[in-house]
Amino acid sequence: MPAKVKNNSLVKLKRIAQYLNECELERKEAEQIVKTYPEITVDNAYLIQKELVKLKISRGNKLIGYKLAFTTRTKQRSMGISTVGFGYLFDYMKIDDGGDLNLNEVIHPKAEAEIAFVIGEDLEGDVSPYEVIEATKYVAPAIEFVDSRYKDFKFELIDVIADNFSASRFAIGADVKRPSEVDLRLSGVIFERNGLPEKTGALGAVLGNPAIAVSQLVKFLSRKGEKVKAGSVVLTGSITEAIDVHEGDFIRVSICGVGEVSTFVVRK
Amino acid sequence: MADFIEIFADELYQAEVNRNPIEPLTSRNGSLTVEDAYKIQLKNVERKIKKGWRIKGKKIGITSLAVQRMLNVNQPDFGYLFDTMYVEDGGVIKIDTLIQPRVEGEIAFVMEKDLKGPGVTEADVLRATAFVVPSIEIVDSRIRDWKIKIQDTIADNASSGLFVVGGKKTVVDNLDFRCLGMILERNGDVVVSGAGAASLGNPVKAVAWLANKLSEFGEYLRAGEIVLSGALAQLVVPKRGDFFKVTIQKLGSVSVKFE
Repeated sequence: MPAKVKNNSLVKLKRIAQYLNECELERKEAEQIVKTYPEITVDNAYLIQKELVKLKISRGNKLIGYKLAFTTRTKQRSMGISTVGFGYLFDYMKIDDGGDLNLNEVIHPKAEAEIAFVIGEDLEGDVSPYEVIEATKYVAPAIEFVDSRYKDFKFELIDVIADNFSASRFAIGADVKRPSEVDLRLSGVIFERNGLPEKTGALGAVLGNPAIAVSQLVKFLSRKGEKVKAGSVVLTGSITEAIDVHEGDFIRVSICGVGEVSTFVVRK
Repeated sequence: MADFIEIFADELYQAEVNRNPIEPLTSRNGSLTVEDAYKIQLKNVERKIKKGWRIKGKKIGITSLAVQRMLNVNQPDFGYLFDTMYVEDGGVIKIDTLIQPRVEGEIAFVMEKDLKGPGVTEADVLRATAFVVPSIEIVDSRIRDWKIKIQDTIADNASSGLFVVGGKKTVVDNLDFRCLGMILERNGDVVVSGAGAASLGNPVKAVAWLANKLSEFGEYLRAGEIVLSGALAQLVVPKRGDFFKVTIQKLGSVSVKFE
């Protein structure tokens, strides 16, 4: 954790962003922000996230989309909010369908089963879920490997926002479908490790329909003066509980009526 | 030998009638086997039949990897469904009539033909099934705080409580049971979800397991019986006033309210 800086809030936020970025790049566990800086607000945390994004762009990373969190009403209600949380996805986080998650590049990853929306037209303003579906080019099964930089995955809201919602790696399936061809509420999801169905779910686990989560993202971004650009990938949130991964694991997500995506967990 | 079977069966029956849970059987008899547990279960099934209860079908439990790992077993279990346990679709359950209920969403099979093991395959199950319906199972445990080992739950009629079945029938033709998604809503919020694969990889396989297991007791699935084929998601704890709705892809929905 960087030394405490007083009287200059932006410098403080930038330093925290630098610290979290270093932890990611050097694969070392971070101390919780809230422990050192209890005064940081949710808005400040999103500013730290923004500084983190700037750092990555300055290093040549390309912004390619978003990942969503707090995608159940129970969770949103318990936190007193009515919107998803989000982090940014970068090109270096992408793993090909059938490719490898290299454990030497991450700290302590967990896998999540999700459906990805690939957006076909710019989305901004007060959009409704049906408008999201109209603007979505296709949907695809996805595996997200989250990797909180915090020690033992222990964090509070402020910490996880600042840490870009644990975004780390993700794989999008080559099996894609137009969203209108998919039952976005009731399609079954099977999350396998080495052929065993570790977890199952249905797409409606995400706010009843993942398109609702995307519409909440667009509204949230609009309030910050941002939009979801055509070509963006949106990982719409975990459909089941996360699973731990170990070297040698073969992870597969099947979404019925959409297709599959898989990743090998290796150390190389 | 026979003594403790009688005693435990009687304790469980009284616990159910008086809604007063008992300590785990396994904490008091460390050598209790799965076979003993089914004997205890059967004692109470016989007792209930004598009292005029009618068998409506069977339920399969311990069908998910998570629960099998939690109980450190690699087999499911089963219990009996009685007419006294049936709640109509959209009906109301008085929460005080149960001890520590939990809500599950499941696929229910309704048998067209008798199905006798051993040697029953998934294909036999599909041929013998009249149709499937969505269902809500309310499990309950007569063992204090659900501190169960597999023997405790088997003896306790596989922790069965009440069940609700939906009124839309779907024939099994062309259904991919592994894939069917299920969402369980509480007061309009999706609280858990799952897919058919949650039950032993495929609920059809769970029913085949049941038919084969029953043959060990000289029993079989009878035409007209309902089989609850295993929970498709984590259990949900109900509170007074909660309204639950289970929707299963292609099968429709079923609901129940707690008061």
